[in-house]
Amino acid sequence: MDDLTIIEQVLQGNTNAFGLLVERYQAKVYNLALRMCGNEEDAFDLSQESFVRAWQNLSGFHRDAAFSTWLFRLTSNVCIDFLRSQKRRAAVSLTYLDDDNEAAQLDLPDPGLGPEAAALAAEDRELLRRAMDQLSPECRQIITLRAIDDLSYAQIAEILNVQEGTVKSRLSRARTQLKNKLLQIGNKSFREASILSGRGDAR
Amino acid sequence: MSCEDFVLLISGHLDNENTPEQEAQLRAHLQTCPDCRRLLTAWQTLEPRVQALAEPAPEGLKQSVMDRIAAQSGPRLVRPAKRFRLNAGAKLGLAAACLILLVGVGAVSLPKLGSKPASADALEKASAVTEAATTDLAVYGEAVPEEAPAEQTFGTAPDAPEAAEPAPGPESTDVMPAATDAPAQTEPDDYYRSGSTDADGASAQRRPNVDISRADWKRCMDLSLDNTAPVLLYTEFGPSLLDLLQTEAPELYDRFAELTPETSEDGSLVYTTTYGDIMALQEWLLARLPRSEDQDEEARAAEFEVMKRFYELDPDSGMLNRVITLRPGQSPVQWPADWPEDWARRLRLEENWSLFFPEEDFSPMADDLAFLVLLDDTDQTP
Repeated sequence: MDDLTIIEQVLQGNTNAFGLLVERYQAKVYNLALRMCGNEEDAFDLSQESFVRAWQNLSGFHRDAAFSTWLFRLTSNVCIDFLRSQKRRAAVSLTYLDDDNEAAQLDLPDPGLGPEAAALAAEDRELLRRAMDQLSPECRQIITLRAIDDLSYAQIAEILNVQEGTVKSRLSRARTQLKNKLLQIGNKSFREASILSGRGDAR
Repeated sequence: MSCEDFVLLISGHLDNENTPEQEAQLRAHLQTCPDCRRLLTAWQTLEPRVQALAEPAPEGLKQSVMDRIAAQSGPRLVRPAKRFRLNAGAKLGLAAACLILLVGVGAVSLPKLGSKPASADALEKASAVTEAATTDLAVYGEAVPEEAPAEQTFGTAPDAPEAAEPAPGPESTDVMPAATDAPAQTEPDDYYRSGSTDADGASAQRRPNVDISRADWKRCMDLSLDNTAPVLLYTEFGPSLLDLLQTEAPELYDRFAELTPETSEDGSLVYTTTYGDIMALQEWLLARLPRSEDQDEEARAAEFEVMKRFYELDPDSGMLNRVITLRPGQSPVQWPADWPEDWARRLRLEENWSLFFPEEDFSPMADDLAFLVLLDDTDQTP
């Protein structure tokens, strides 16, 4: 059953049908919220909130857009509102939380190490997660929409209400940021790991 | 283009969103630029790792959503609709389409007349609605009601006789056919005035009379919703209305024909339909209302607007402003006793219409059930 059919049913009174939409999109909604707010509890709440609002506003959903687009936009807004209210730190600092959850200073990336180091760092899922968390909300958002929610530029453009060209350039910049962040974080741990393990080679 | 510019294309390449020209440019550049090649490779490695950050949706998420939804009845969404009764008088001819169209939205499910109440809770609420009000939703053709489900009430245990009752209750005799005189009103004309200005002289012009019992007018209220609100409405009407629809408004008929109605004991059909359909039905009914000959499209539209204007749903309290619409020539001889005289004030008098608007704080009903009474007495031929 396609989204519009389900929506029709919900609007006719079949509340349970909404559950089908939840099932269909909960993973993507959750992951968007997760990447944007950075922790599972908040992501749960924000996902839930997004779906509830979607239900409440279902009558306002105009069929000229895809439901998923509408839902993701709604979710994005919920998350951004949340982040603003939480006054989360924009992650453009050079501090990061180390394994002891204490703020530590990052060394600036060693220019000698290339992007491969970043890829390497990404092998450490935890590092990658940290790096993502330290990006700005907008960067996290667009990377998530593309890489995790697997949306096209056109779809992302609709969600963010920008031109496709803007999506392309923002995404490109976001990836660059992620790469740099990985280098920053990865460098430190990479170096530490190297020292500890005796591996001195930079690949 | 510098390498910086190509970063954009590398990103686009990753997503398969480059134009063919851009791809060509990129390919050409990559052949000569190891740095960019490394960047591309790195990003191609990075991308799946970012994708792998995805986690499954947590276990309880869906249920938590459904729980919250269940606890709500957003005003813009569906509440279990009230059932109401429109008895278009199955025994009456087409023309007698004296229709009481009930449109209700609310959190209460009224029991169908003749059936057991759905729940005590519903009963309680519904009887707050109806109070002492009996609801004779009789439809009268000619001057004599053929079906007068007297004593039928919403929300009470319907031991009350079904619409099989042939004779109207005593209340209904209050309204005189008034073939010869102006509506015999013991009430001051404030409440209702015969539509035609030449009330007496033109009584000869009087249309065949269709009377509504006083009891009916107790329930003369209407519900209007924001047109975009997707609400579920039950509409019941008699089979004769359906026939009328089929003849006169086939497209509208089709909408209902698609649906499977339930049939109540007295033969009326209960449809679950959308507000859009109800509105269409109402508009059609309204269009059938007899007008003075010179009343044009615009006037009709204005009239409909006036009617609509008086419907307001207060989203907080769920209260509705109510409109009582009386057909010219039709008036309760005695204003229902339980209706305080001063709560209704006339808002507008058209030649053929009178509208009454209750004081805002008056609310005999606890919730937003209302109905519109539309009459059509143009032709009496079945």
